[in-house]
Amino acid sequence: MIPLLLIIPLVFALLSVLLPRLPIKAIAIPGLVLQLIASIQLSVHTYKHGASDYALGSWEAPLGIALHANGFTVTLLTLTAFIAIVCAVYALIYLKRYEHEQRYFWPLFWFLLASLNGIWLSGDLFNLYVGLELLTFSAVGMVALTANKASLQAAIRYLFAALLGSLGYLAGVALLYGQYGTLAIQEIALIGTSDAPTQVALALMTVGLLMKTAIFPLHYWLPPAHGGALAPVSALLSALVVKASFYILAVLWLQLAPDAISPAAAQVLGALGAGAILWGSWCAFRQPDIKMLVAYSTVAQLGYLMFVFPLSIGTNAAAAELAWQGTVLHLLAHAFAKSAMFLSVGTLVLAIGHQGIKDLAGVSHRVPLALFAFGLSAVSLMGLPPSGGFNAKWLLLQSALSSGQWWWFIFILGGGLLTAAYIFRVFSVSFIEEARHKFAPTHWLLDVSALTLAAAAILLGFVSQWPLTLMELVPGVRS
Amino acid sequence: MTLWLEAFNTDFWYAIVGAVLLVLALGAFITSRQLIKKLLAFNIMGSGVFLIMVGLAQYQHGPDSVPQALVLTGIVVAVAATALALVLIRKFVLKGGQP
Amino acid sequence: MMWFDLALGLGLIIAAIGVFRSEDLFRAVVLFVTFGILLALTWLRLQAPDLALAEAAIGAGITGVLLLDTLGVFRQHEQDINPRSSSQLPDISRQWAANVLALIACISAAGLLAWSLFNTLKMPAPHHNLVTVVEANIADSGVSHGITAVLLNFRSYDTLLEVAVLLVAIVIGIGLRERVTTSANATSDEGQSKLSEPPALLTSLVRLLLPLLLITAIFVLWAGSTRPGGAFQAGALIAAAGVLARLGQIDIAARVTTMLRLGLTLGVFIFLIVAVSPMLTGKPFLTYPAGWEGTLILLIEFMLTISIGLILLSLFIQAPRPRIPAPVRNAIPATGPNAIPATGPNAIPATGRNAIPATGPNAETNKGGDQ
Repeated sequence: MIPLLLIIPLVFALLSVLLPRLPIKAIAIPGLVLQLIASIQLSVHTYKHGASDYALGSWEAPLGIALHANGFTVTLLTLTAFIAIVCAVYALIYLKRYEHEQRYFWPLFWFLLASLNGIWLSGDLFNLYVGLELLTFSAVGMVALTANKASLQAAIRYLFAALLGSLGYLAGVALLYGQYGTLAIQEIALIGTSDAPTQVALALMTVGLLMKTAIFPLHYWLPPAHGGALAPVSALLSALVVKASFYILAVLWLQLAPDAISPAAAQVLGALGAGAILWGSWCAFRQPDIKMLVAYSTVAQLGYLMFVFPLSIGTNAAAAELAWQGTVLHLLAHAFAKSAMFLSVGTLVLAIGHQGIKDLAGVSHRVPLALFAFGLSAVSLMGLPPSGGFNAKWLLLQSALSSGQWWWFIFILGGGLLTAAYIFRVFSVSFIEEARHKFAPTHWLLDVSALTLAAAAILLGFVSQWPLTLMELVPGVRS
Repeated sequence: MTLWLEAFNTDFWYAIVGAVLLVLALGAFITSRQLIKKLLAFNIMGSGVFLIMVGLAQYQHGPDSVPQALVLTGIVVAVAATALALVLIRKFVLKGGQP
Repeated sequence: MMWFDLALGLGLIIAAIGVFRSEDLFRAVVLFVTFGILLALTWLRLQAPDLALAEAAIGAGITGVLLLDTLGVFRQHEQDINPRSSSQLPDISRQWAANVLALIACISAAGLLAWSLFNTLKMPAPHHNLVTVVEANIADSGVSHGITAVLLNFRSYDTLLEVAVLLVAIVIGIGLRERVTTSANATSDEGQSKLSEPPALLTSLVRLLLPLLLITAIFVLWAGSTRPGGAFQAGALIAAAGVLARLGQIDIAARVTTMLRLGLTLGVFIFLIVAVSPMLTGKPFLTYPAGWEGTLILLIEFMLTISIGLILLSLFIQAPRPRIPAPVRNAIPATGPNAIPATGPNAIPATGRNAIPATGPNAETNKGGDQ
């Protein structure tokens, strides 16, 4: 069952390269449904029987490559399949205006999904590198799709940053292989020590992955890439792509070699997260362009992910567990809310024909559903109840209290207020009665897809137990 | 010190060369203003990493086909990255961007 | 350790410094290719002939060709658009900040690596030793050459993803080149410059070299199961043959047809089919049926060679080029009534045929870039 999640996207990627335009669009949704079914099945299997390993080619690690499915990975697989299917529905409508681009959107889309699934499942350090490169290439290609000067520049910047990050990661892999003679994460987790090569390897890999996750101050490439891409692309990039490198970072720090990590290093990562929240929010507040505002919001929201390290390393077990749960919920809630936000903003821009915040005047009357989806996702981003974002922040706050680290408490709370500040800039304009521009009608499915994701972000507040129950099946992270 | 010299061999020497290349190329990557120069620096940095990977793995075990296979994969990924970057840069320049 | 190694290592470093320091891009690329050749020698010294072959063919060869071709395109573009363009004043404060940043990054990276390598010397051999594991299992892999066994059997999943990476690169390459235009005959030659008539000597040389290269490629491919060689090196040779053929005005892979797409994906397709079929009998993904390993690996390698060769070649041929100065037809200024900045439907004319009005009176692009 596990390899199906690799085979389905790869097969559809190849078909999308080969087939003419119409069948490509026709097969997209059935393929995504297949993928969703496969990931739900795997989740159920994992829930019933616990984590499972899969030796590719019948070769056991360390000689072969092992895939590994646990509660965390199946959550991410299902998240990916779900967001992908909604974004695909949106893209089918949205890309009608981009005759040329959509011919190349779909192969890249499928390769992106293949690499994401590959990364969630992989248990091998080098295989993760190849997966990361596949992910980068497809993401960069999607950013460059429109091939105008700005998007090309954003794509080049993104590519260079990501390549530098990959090399940092690969250098770490080289040192670890020299040190342990194996690439299997589970093997190194068993024999890992805290000697110099291991620490240096982790440092190099961490910097590389921070670059790819766009954590402040290495975030410079993200806003033009995410803000400049086509709406469904931005949604995929912000919801899923940056989470892949964070996932690897979390696996390295919490599973691969927890002994080699010092609490001081964890505090540094937390400080970067705090910096991301402050700087990202400030920049979002100052953006004249709505898409750039949402992109900078991603920079800020990624900062919360970094708090898992100071809250779970060198603290008590209860605080660590709360931090981990809060982080997973934040990852999910942000994925739903941010993809919803990019999609709804895409619809708004489509309706108005402009993307300045000032141009949004009058949208509350003319494009109410898209604005409603934007509002719902904003509720989760700000961390207001009831929403997945609220539960996530609540757990993180409790963890900060439980571990006696009041300083993170301030940033977690303050981040919500800052989010509110830049979100209300949008609302204050959108409720102005007088419209500045003519409105073009938009397809109803665009609104439905954005609303679906926004609703998911809110609903997550009611069913937070589901992912958290699955999370208890993750070995090794509950220190 | 004698222990240090004893352990030192060809493979280890090239791992050190790889590390030096990595560091120099990192500096060149950050300071270059031309995209093509950045791309060259990236390629040399990659070669440095590959040398570390093979040199470090082999210095105690002798020839090891696993890191060699990994580096072969790495070389192909690097050429794909270079080609992709060149496609983007060329299109960018043709649209009036600075190389 | 020999003096030769010392000299070779220093040579690598000096060549790299030369690349970084040269102001002239052409010089930098030439030095980079030199670096690649030195690196190929280094791989031989590290007893990695496969890597030497790959580095020479792919690292120095294909990369060098792509880079030089790009410089040629830049030169042509500069002449077309604006003979004395560019050279804006460098932003001094920005450059200064980059220098400081680079210094900090270099010092920390150097410190970390030195500390790590120094400590490695004091440590016992690693816990695992894959050399012995590979030796113990190679008999079951279907090939007798270690690297091929790792690439196509033990870690074949990596290779599958790696070919997918190549495929993504060429999909983007084609996507950025081809542009849909209304007139049917326009699609084929858009963005493609006709090479000038090659000298007769070159043509006959190409005719001579082509079969030689193809034969070598087949040999390298076949050799891969028992000694250094394999699909990637052979694919690079095929691509080299294609580049040569192109120089000799033989038009291959110039048009994105269904056949080309088929060729590009063939390798991954066959690979996937072979990898999935054992699952029907309950075996894990990517398992070879017992007794068939050698044959299937050769089949996959053969298909991969074709695809890799075509992909590398297409990356060269499909790369964006300035159009040969042609009369600019009906250049529609891209200022529709509701133009979303350059992403809307009205922006398509700006990226279509008339995108680079090389000689056009209303060349929109010669303002010099930002930065």
